[in-house]
Amino acid sequence: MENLNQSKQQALSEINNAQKPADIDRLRIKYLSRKKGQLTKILRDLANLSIEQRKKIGPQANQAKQEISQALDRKLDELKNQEHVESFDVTLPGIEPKVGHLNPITIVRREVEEIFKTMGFEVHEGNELTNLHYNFLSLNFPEDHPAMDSYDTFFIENPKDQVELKDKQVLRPHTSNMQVKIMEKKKPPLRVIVPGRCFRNEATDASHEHTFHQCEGFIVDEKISVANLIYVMKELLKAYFKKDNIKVRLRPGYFPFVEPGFELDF
Amino acid sequence: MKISVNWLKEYVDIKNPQKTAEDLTMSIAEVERIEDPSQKLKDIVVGEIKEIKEHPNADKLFVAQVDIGNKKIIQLIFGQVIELKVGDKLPIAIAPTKLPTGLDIKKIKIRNIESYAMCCLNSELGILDQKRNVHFFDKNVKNGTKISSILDLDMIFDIDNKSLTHRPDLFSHIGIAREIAAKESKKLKLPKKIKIKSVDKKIDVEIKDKKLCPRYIAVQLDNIKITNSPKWIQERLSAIGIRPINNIVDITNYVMLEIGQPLHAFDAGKIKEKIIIRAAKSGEAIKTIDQKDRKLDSDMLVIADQEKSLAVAGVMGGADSEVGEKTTSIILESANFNAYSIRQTARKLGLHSEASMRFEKNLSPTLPEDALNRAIQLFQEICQAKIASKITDIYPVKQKVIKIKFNPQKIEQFLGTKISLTKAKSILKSLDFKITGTRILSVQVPWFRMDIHAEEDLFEEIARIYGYDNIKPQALTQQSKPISLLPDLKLEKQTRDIFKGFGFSEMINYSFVSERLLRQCNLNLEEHLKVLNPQSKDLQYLRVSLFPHLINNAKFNLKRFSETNIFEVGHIYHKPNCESKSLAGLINGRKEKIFYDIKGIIEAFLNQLNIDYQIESLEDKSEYYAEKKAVQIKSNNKIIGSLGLIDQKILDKLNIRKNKIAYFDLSIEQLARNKKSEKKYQPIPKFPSVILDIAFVLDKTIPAADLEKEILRIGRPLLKEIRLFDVYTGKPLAGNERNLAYHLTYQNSEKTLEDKEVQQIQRKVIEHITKKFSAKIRKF
Repeated sequence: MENLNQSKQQALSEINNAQKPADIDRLRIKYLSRKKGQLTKILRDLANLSIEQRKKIGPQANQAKQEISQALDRKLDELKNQEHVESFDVTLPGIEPKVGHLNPITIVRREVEEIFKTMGFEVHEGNELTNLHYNFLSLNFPEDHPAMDSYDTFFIENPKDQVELKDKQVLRPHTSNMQVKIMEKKKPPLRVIVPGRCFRNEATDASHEHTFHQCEGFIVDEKISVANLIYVMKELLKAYFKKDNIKVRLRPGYFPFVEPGFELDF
Repeated sequence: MKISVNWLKEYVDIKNPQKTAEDLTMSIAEVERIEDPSQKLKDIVVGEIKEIKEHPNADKLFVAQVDIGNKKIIQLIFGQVIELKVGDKLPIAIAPTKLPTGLDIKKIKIRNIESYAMCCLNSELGILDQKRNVHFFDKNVKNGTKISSILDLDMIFDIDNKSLTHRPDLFSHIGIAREIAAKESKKLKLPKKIKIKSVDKKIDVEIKDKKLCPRYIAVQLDNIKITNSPKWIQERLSAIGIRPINNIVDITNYVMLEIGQPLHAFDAGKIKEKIIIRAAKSGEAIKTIDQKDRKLDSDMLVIADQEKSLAVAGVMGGADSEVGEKTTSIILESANFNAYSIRQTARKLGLHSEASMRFEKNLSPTLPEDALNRAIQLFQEICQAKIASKITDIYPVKQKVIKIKFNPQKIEQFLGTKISLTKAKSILKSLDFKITGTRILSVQVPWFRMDIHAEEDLFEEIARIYGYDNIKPQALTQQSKPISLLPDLKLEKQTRDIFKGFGFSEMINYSFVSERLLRQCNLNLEEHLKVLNPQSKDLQYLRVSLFPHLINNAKFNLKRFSETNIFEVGHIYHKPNCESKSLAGLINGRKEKIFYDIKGIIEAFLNQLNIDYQIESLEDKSEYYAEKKAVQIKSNNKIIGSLGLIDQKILDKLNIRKNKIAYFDLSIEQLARNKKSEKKYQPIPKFPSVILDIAFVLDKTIPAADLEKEILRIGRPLLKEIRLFDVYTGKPLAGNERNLAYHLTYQNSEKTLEDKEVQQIQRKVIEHITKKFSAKIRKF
């Protein structure tokens, strides 16, 4: 009886003083292990006692075992918790997933396309390789227009030796090569934009590139006017630059395929 | 092109040059810059010398007291360059200021005497007569007057030539003045035409090619004495950057800048018999007046006599027939040449003159007559020249008068704004259009407007003078349809987003590839379209694949970063003249296992797009994949792309060290075509599945795909899925053996599977596989 109480008190005090989870494991073995545990031993020794004594000490011994077991669990939780909390450094940097990027040209192009889509424009990209018919002649460029010179436009070799002017292959210097093509295929009313890659035979410097991206748009409809065109351009700029007060200046500009032609400054 | 405001003032009233420049920009062409010398002369005033003393401490200096107005006397020191006396009035720069030539004027002390200003030499001001040292003002000019306000300094408009490509009539002061008059509702004052009395002597002119020379007028002028031209002409020319040469050349230049027609004067004594306008003979050469020898070809037009060429028509005169000190008689040419021919000639010769710049814009053939008249007038007035011949004018096909039917009602519809008929008519009239008719008008185009052909052109004329900024924007009122992206563009968009999500960065590379890079990539030059006029050797070929630039990007990146995951969506070009869109990308890594990374990425990508695909060994030998380390991807039995490891030889050539590259490419069109729009969804199975693991040891050379196909074939329909989880070679297996371990998932959608059933199928699978592939079952 004394032995039991003594063991229990000692066990509880040692548990209380445990510093790390491993101490708990050690104490569990010391007191409760099936072979050598002190409590186990006491319980096993009960077999040698008289029935009455057994009845008296038995429940107490069981209860002591339970108490110790619970104390061990409690302390273990506490120590584990402590250990976790202390070693968990929330200030370490997070682990980034691999992040990809879109090319800035793609980003701008998407923004522009989105704006035009909300105004009801279809998006066509079209081909970059084109012929002089679609590229110039069908757009009111005279045959001797300077743009037709190889000084401005890249010409592509043709397997055939003799090619008619209109069939000569070029890399498009503007997206306007799609105007006639789209109008041939589709019936009005039409609202179309053509964003895409263009090429010009220009020496490259800070403000010139032989390859660049352009976006053009057109509307084919009855009762469509210059005032509508100005509206669309202003809306585009407003939406793109996210400003309501965009001051724009319209002034004449010359392009063989439009009347009137103007340029927009802002 | 430079335009002098003072010169413009001869034809139109200009009160506020800034405003006029703005008007030009808004209605005609952009004035890129206004050169205004008065801005730089703000602190320079007229000062009167009141007293001069010798500098007490310096031999060659003087100390003056100068009256600079408002009863202010200022002390300054001057040297011996100019001789000054009391009472002289001259430009004084008051310190601190900066002269137009950049000289800083500060208060200074020279040997104990202070100087608060400086007397300005003409050379220091950069204006006035540069041949004289200093400009003295008249006695009655008030002291303290700003010199910029009394000198009538010119202002120069620098106009963007490009926007005038279609307006040959605007390459002159009168042309610009006409536009200003129209825009600002002012009167245009033109020089008076004179009556010319010619002499009955013929100049023999023959035009061989009338297409290239629609008109040629020549006249002989005698009694010529070469001198400097008068000051006013020199000033006009210098102001816009044309160097005065002598009276003859200056007058021809003056007329060109005034009305836009280039003229040329030949020394009459140096022309043999007759003037012939003909194509150059091949191999012919000429020394032009810039003293350079020019080789001509048969596409170029020359002015020649019986023996030799005298000038490159419309581009530059020849040195042999040039007007010189001894010239006493000239032949004056005023002609019209084909714009295209002049442009080609100027470009081939690399010779862009004021004349060729105008001719290549397509001048009116009517213009030479006016120009000649004006030139003769000036030659008579300035040089007392005498007309010594008939005016020979060869002009076989006269310029047509263009009349355009014009419906004023359409203006509003076209511009979206109301412009009154009176306003519209007055705009057109101010631009020299002649209008007749009442409801539907007939508008006659002035001869100098070579750019006007249609009714829309007239709307444009009205709109630009009316002012585009005066047109109120109008919302689109028509209904528009819902917009969906075209299938290939939609697929491109998805593709970019998916690859971005996979951690790839998007490249946008040039369409051009150099021969060197193609060779490094082991690509066949013959398959590439070639640019006929590449800008440089590096831009000679058009890419047939996105590979060369991407591998080059990788090379660049790997010099700086340890990892590169990149992709591109772009056009590729094929012989004879077609084009398609391609998706390609690559990753790097130390080991060949990156093959499986890229394969996994592409499989995940195709699954996301909902595309059925099969992967097989490459059918054809590839240019850039490593042998047997690449596969092709098929969908609906068509090849849609490939992926694999890049050949080590290519990596070596490109100097990509310590890295393997795994690459893929896919056709955007094929992806778009094979993408299934429907996606099927299934309920979560009601009955549990059973997963059994199995590992086969079999010969290394047997492809895993073959084994898997067989397992599935035997195990179906209850075997739902098979998933590889381990590959092992090495001890204790034999050298030629490999272990492949799988999770096999069995499931019946109708009921709960019984152990017995599963065991039975599993046994069947084992039996079949061990027999077919001589495989063993590996015990765990």
